[in-house]
Amino acid sequence: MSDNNLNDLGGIDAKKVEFDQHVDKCLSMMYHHPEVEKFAIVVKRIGHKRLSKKAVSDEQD
Amino acid sequence: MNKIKEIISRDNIIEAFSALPSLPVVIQKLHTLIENQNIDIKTISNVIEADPGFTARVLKLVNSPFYGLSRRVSSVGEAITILGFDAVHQLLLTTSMLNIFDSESVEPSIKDFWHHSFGVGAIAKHLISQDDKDTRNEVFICGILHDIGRLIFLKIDPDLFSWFYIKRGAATGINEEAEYYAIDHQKTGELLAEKWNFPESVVTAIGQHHSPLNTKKYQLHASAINIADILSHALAIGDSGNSFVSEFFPEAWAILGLSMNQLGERLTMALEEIDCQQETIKDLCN
Repeated sequence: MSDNNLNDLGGIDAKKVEFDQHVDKCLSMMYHHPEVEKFAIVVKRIGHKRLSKKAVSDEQD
Repeated sequence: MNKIKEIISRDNIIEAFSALPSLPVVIQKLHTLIENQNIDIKTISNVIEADPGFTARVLKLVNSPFYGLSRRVSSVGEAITILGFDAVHQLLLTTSMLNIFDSESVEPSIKDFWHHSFGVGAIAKHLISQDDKDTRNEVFICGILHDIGRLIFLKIDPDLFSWFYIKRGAATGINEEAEYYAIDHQKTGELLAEKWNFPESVVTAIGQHHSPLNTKKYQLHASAINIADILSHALAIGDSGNSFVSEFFPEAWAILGLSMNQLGERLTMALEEIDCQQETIKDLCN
């Protein structure tokens, strides 16, 4: 983990880690289907973008 | 014996519905117009304007900052021209459901429940081809209503609902529901949708959203709701009341005919819609 990321613990990076854990918890029982593993990758990517966008918007507010 | 099991064993599940409010007359009339394909703006305006509450909601929506109009719209007809009939219909249906099933004292909060339902509707809509406008509109409604059977359990016995879905801390899938309530939320939802005279596509999708391959007719609708339900849970949109996630059916995914790249694009569009509309709906319900 970079210094930048370490500084961010408790912020956006921590939220992304928490989100990834949520996705894995939701889908892990179905990970034996290759399509669901791919869902997880897509959902995590989009979820991270959404969290970043929200963080920027919250900062502007 | 719990209240719902008692009703079912004493009589039948229809008895349980006598405790539920009817679908608002405005929504019933709009559904009749849709079925008869009698959708001209004047007829629809007349139906909506007969109810001051619905009229106010439509005007509040069209004049909200979300649409950024430079002047105030003061007639339902003009609002329908600007928003489109589908948007108005979906708004009225969503806010009606919120009013019928509003309950402040239970967990999960009813707002979170509808957030999940709205998320499923929006995602399901975007999973369908943009060329198939009718199916997109139908699956949106299916998504909004897919878990409505659970709300029957809530309405009849809120304390039991809270205990079963939250406090018990155990699995709450359709098998556990069937054992505990003597009926699962798919079946109760299907029966309510029939009672409210929803289109067959909506009744089928509600009744088969955890088993989309069980139906030949409207399999696309049921599949879209099944996959959208999984994705809405994974994206943490709202709270349906339990951590149970639908079983995945590769065939249901294949029916949608999407690549993973397309899925990414569609989910991005759906999330934009969810984030924008949630604020509007929250505002309209206050």
